[in-house]
Amino acid sequence: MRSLALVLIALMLAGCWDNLDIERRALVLGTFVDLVSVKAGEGGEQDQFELTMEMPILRRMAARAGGGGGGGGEGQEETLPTWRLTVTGSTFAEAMRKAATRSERQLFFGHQKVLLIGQELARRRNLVEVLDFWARSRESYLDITVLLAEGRAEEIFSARPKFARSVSIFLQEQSERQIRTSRFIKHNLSEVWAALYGDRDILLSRVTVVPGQEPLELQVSGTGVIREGKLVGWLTPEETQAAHWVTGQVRGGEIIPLPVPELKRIFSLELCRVENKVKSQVIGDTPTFTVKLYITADIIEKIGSPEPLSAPILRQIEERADELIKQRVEYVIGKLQRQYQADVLGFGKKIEENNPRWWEAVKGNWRSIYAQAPVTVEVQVSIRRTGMVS
Amino acid sequence: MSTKERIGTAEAFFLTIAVMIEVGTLIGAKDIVDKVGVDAWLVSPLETLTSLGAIYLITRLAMKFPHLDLAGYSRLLVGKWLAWAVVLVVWAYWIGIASHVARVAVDVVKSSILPRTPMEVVLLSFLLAAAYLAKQGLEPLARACIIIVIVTLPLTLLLFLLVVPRVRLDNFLPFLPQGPWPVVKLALWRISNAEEMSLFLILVPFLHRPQEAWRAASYGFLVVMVVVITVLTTCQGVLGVEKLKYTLVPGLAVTQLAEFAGTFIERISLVFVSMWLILVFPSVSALLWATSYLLGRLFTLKDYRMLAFYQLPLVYYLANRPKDVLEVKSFFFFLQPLGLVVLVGIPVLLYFIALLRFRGRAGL
Repeated sequence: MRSLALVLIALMLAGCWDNLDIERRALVLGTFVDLVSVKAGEGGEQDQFELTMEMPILRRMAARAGGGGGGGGEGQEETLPTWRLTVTGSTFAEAMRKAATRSERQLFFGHQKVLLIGQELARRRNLVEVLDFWARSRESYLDITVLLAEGRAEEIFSARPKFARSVSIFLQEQSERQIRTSRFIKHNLSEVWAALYGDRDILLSRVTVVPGQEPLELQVSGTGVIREGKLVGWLTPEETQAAHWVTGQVRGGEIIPLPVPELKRIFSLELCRVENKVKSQVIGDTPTFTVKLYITADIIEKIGSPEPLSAPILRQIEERADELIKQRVEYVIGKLQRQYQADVLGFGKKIEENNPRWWEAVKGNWRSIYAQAPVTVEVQVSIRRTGMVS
Repeated sequence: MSTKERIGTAEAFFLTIAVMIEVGTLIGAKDIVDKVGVDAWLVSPLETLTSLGAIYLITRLAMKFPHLDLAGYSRLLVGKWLAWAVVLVVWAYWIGIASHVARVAVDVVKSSILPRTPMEVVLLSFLLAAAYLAKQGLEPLARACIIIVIVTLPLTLLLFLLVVPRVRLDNFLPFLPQGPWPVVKLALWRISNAEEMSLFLILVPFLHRPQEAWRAASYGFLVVMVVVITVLTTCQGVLGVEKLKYTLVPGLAVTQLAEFAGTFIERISLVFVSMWLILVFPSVSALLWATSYLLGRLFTLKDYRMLAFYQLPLVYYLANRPKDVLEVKSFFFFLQPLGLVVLVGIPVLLYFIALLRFRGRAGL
């Protein structure tokens, strides 16, 4: 019996069905997806998914890293040390299988950093469908950063990052900069998926090519408004900032220029801390919201009159900052309520938390209720420091 | 029963921890969320109290007969034939649990690290290794549990701590939107999730100090519940209720978001799966040992331990029977009600009979 068991175990464990050497894998760093029309017999056209996958050519990457030496090499090479493979299919899985006919290595998605979705695809298809393949895949991770491209995702490859060795790595690292700016919002696959399955609207970062640059440069700035799983419009970087203030996702370090005409000066305020309180109340059948923002800021720059700052002047600056931030927040809330009817700021969730029974009764009709709901914004800015000079 | 097989209270404590941590830790969050939604995080703390009640009952019953196991004291209490029936029910329950745990473990391995390896091979390897340990007897099994728990449990918990910064408090709100009753009901129903605690129906006579059975069982169970509550609460806090409903293995999904500073170590979740698999292994081993022991007692065999191997075809068949991952739950549907019978029904019945028949007599 023991011998039989030993033979069985030896037979089963001696080989490994899943063994695949790393040099036979092609590591996908980023996948850029678009919607394209292809001819589908008898003159008709059919929408298909187009995937462009970016994979590092490790040999060239290593050579590039070693050859930099003096540090003057950035942007000098004509091409990035990556391979872009574009395939199409009626499903993402089909398209990826087609890639097997063009790559001698097996594509591996375990190190994928970003998923960039083209504008047309995001407008016409529900993102639940788009993300389904990645959510199911055993290789891909929930930590993949999900971004929207203004225009075609594939066109983003025409840009050349200055420092990063691939467009995907640039987008990933740029997304991590949210700690310094709230002009975009970093969401990973897990967060996007949770929002979509929870029937919640969400903002996704926008990737654009900076116009007028040669070679072309990229920027992650502003956000796309996803309503019912589809892209319905964009928020500018400034509007995105204001949306961040309401949701309280600001990590500090945000800078806003603040013109104060009565002092004939422009100040740069660094928002060190933004505390938000969103209160909901249901009166009759009408929900009302009060957004209170408590902001602590430093003055880090002053342009204009050289007269030193004083405490009364700081109070004036605070009042102006209150006003400016309030205007921006009110504007973005109004735009989201009336133009997009997208509850990306989570007002519905507030109602659900505070009035769960009323929420159950109205959630089917929430979008129209939300669009009409009065929102009061109160802002209180406190300036603490003025830098090393007064 | 082999008199050589004795374990200390500390060994029983580690055995409890090792056998209790199995598939429920990984998939439990989804099951709870499906039933009570956003209040899922309240269920496990409450379930700890209700399950402790059941464990107290089992150990009290067993400690009334410190030198007898289930077969022995049930024969004393309800007669030979009814005792046979009781033992058979418990045996069937443990075989079912072993099959279920093995199947879910294999599904997780298949869908995370070994997709191309045939399921039959993974399952058979897993069961053979588990049966090998079971065949060595209770003492080696308990010692293996000590090593396994000390090595893997802190690392597993550390992985979950890495994800804690991603917990969002609003994923726990609103608070009790449906009122407290669904949570209480589920906490009572989930007594049956303390499946392996039923091993104390036979473990007490193996203890050097049978009077410490309750201590070993309750302390071990509390440690397990700390792990369970940490894992389930993290799952809900990170993934949110809606995503949990669609995630088959939430425990694994959550660890995909774990990252070390520096981020040069990627795919940490695979480390988690590997460690978790090591933790699941003693559960199946202990169940195979227990079922072998029960069969040995039923048929009064001198050496029951080889039965661990002889039972494998049945366990393999049951584990392999559900056609797909979605059918596993419905195929093993009987485990939940049967769990209540084994963890509550049988102990209550036997305890009352013992009270009536042996009132005032202790240490039988």
